[in-house]
Amino acid sequence: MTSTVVPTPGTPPPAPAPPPAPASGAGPRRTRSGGSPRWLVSLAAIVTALLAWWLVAAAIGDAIVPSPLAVADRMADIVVTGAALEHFVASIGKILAGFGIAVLVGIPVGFLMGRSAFWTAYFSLPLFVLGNVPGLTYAVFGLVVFGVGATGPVVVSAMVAVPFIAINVAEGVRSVDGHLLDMCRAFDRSPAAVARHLYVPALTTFVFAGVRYGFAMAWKVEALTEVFGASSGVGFMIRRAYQEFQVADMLAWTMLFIVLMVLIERGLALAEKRLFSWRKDLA
Amino acid sequence: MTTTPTLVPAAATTAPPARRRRRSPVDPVQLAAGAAAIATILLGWWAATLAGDRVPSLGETVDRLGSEQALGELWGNLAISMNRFVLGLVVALVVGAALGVLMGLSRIADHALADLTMAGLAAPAVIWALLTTMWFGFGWLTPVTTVFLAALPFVMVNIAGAVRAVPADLVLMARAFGVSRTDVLRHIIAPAVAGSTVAAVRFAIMSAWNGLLLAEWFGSTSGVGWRSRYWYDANQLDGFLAWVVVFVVFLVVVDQLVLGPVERRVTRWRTA
Repeated sequence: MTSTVVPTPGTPPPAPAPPPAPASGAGPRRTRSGGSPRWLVSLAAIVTALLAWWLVAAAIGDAIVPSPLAVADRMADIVVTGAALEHFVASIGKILAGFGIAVLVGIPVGFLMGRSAFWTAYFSLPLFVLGNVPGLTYAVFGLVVFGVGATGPVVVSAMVAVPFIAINVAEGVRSVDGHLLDMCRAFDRSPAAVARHLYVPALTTFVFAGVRYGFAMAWKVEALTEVFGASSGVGFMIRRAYQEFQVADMLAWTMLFIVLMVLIERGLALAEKRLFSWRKDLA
Repeated sequence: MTTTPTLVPAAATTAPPARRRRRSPVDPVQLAAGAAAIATILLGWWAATLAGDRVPSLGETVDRLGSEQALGELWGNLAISMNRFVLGLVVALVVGAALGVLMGLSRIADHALADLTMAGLAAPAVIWALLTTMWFGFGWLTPVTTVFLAALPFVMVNIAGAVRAVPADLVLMARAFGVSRTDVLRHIIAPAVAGSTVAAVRFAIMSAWNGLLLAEWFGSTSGVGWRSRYWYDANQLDGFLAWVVVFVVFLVVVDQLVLGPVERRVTRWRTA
């Protein structure tokens, strides 16, 4: 179902998306671009922030607050040596596996919630707890139950992602038009046809939204689990740098993490817009 | 019929799932469902103790919580942590609200701060906890700074959203008809802003609590995070789990029993 999710790696140009783009004039929200030269202002802000960082680093003059140049240097090293690729692929692989499980669990749960008030109330507390338990708890849970390895992060990211998927699927089920359902019944459509033509189109949008909103959360908790116990992945590398007191390395990995996270998020947002632009008028 | 899917209340893309608003707080079906949910959780826990012999039972955990209380560790550490938590959170709310209002009012400020906020939202709290531990050592500054940094971007994003939600045309019209300033504030601005403001506080609390625990875990010798680590290091999982229960109860109480009703109250004018 989520097989269409893969955001093509080359395409995502940051926010504004100038190409033809089926940006559908109907979509009322989003895209507040226009006016002042946006990129110039944000570039200036980023440069100012880096400059401030550089000044602080120069004032302190200790490896404990490395200058942005030193961090950039380490980032380049990490990327060139291929360590970045290796560990980010490891992390993202675990996340994808976790989301696979979350979709399998979240769809039936969300379906139940969408169809009945009882199940909505029943699942609301467990899903709230799953979605909001502090990351520390998950990390220790993963380490204690599954030991050092890939299983812990996979299970943990699945647990974090389930509420996002389930709640969005429930909204998707609720969004299915009741009149259409009645009509299907009146005209004796088979359940398979109803599922294929009513539920699947409605749900894919919402599952995708769940994946998009859950991704950042799940990845952060997954990385935290790697900090506590893993043998690969970004969190593991941050932990190693911390233990060796290599602040520049820590920051380099963190910056790469942030950059990749923002790119993936924008990629997902763009993909969502492209894939589901036909549906915007419904939502 | 079909309720409109107000997915995430104008919040960050990293927002926790939004729960649906409900009308009557006490409804027998809901009560039964809630009781069933709690029963299921306890049953699941019991099943887990049977499956894995390292998992402490409910009884052991409650006993441990009792003994923590008897030792005077429970309330003392909670008080210390609350102190740090509230301090960092209040600073984050004040600074974040100021920056958020700026972002909501000025396009230039919005463009300037959007990317930095985005980076702040994407940064995992653990990195702040580790960095502040190295920078400030084992003092009070470590958890407070982590709480502040973890909460700040969430406050900024949501307050900016709240400011943008103010209906400018209504304000203009009110001014044209000579409505007093306090009335404009009370009847136009306050209702428009309330929902996102509650969301700002809610997400800030979630994120800050997570940051506080991590900071105390790595860089503190007191507080709830430190205490849970104490039991973890001693390989006494019942002690650790007892503290996890405290963490979760804190969140449930704050979110469902305090912020939930507040949110329902301030958004009661909405018909959706």
